[in-house]
Amino acid sequence: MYSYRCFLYFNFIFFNLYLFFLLWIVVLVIVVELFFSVGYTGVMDLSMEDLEKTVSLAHLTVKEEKKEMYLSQMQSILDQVDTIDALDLADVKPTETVVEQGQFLREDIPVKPDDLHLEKNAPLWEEQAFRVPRILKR
Amino acid sequence: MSYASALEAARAIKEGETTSQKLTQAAFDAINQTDQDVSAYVSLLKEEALEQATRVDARIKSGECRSPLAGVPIGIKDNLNLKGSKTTCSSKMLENFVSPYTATAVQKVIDADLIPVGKLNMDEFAMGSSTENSAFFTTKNPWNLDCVPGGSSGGSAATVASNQVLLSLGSDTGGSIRQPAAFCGVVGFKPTYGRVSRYGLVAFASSLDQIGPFSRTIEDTAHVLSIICGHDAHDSTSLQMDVPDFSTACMGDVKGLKIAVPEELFGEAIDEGVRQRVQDSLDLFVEQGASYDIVSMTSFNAALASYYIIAPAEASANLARFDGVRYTHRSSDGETLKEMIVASRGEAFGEEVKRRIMVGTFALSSGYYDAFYVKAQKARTVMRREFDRIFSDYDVVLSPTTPSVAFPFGAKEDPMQMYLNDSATIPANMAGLPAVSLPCGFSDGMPVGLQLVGKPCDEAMLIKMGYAFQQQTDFHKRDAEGFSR
Repeated sequence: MYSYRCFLYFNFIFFNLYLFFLLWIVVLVIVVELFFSVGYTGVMDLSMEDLEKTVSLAHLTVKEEKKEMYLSQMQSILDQVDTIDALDLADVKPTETVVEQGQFLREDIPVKPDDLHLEKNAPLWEEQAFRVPRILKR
Repeated sequence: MSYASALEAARAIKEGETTSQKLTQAAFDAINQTDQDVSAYVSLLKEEALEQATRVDARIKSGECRSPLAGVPIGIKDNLNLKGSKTTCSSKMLENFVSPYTATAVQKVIDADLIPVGKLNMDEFAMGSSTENSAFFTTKNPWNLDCVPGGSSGGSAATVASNQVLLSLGSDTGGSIRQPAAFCGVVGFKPTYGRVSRYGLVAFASSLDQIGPFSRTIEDTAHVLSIICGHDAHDSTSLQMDVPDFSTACMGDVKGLKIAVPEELFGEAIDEGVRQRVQDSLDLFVEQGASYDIVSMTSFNAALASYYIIAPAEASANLARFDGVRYTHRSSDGETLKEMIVASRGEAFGEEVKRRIMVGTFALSSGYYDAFYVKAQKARTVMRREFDRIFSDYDVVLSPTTPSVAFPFGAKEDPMQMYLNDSATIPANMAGLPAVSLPCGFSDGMPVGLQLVGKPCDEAMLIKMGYAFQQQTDFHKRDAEGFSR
């Protein structure tokens, strides 16, 4: 009888601990989800790593001696977002276009590739195609 | 150009006093004489222009021409395509690019028998406020050759201000027509977004770009607008609505009109000389029977910040096409395709273009998109709502076009200082509204611009007010020293 009661108590405590643990997991998942869905929300300090990553994403090069200059100028531009934070943006939908009629598509008009004269502005044009360097290194 | 307006020149052609060919030759003579000082043109279209002028003269003689501006020379900003001619966007990236087709707005001026005489200098890819960002050379302000003409359509403003031609076309993304018009003392008009087709305009920020004219008189501008506005199936954002004859707005008075003056654009940040000339203009409108109130439009404080997120973000996407594969410039460096693309963009884009592409790329990158891009788009919505609120009580919003007059070359090396030039012009772009800059006087010998912003598609109101203003003033008739008619 005694051992059976102990068994019940043990089960009760274990079950509560299990529930408690489960609850924390759920809370943690929600916090992580929120963080990644909302992303960065305040003013930040750009690092040289951020700049170099951005240069790479933009497919650009900048001279080594200009990097500090770009970093400080980008920081100044992004710091201005403070002035947007002063507005009440609750329940405000973003404006993607000011054209309210809705965009339309015209009927397709077939054209011959020759009509476009792509070769005239191509840096390298061979056999009716743009010639580009190899994609992978040897 | 010996005529006071394009309309007057066209009338002289029609009445046989002169010919389009003589007028076109006179434009090239004026460019020959003064462009070594002003440097407005990237390229000239002399042979084509004189041939077209001969054809137009024949059409006028046979009575086929009905356009009110037939035979008048016009300059074209170098980001508007004209088939068979170079369109460089004042960038090394497109230094040798030859347009495969003609922009709709340019085709419309050709169809209306105007004569394109050349392509005009600009800030590279329309990014700038001084034309100092042109990869080729710097255009000078005819009122003081040591000062900038404004930008990005600096060449378009300077060619009209120096009397090389009476008309030109430019583009306005955050003030690129109105700001140089103010600095050079000419009329610059940005129509409602969607009024003029953007087909054939090299895109900078597609949700903001709009093509518009420069002229000496608002009447000339009204006629050019009637020509270039209208629906175009080639541009999915082109407005599907009728275009009125804007020249009919050049009459009447301003009696009973209500003007809103935002305190955010009329405060301490505005130079005293500029503020005084704008106050004089307001007083003139009041004398003519209009009334005004100082109003608060707090969202304007966030206009600069939101513009300098949205425009670079769109630019970073639009300029991704310049990859060394299709558009003339290719670097000789780079063993692989990606290395070649990176090297081509790295060596051909200028400093300002790179800066904006980087800001745009960062604002659109994972983790920052909502905090920067979406937030800026929301600020844009607030700005539009604020304009709606003001326009429920007022006919027009009035302010200085720029906080100061034209500044000397090299005076604003800090980008943020340069961007402040656009603080008064950006809100109209963000809301897609029509806006005009009118010459309204001088401060320290340099022209001052008066900006009027109208309701959506109410270009006629701005023309009506501009016409009434120019009937009472003579600032638009004055010439810079050494560039008189």
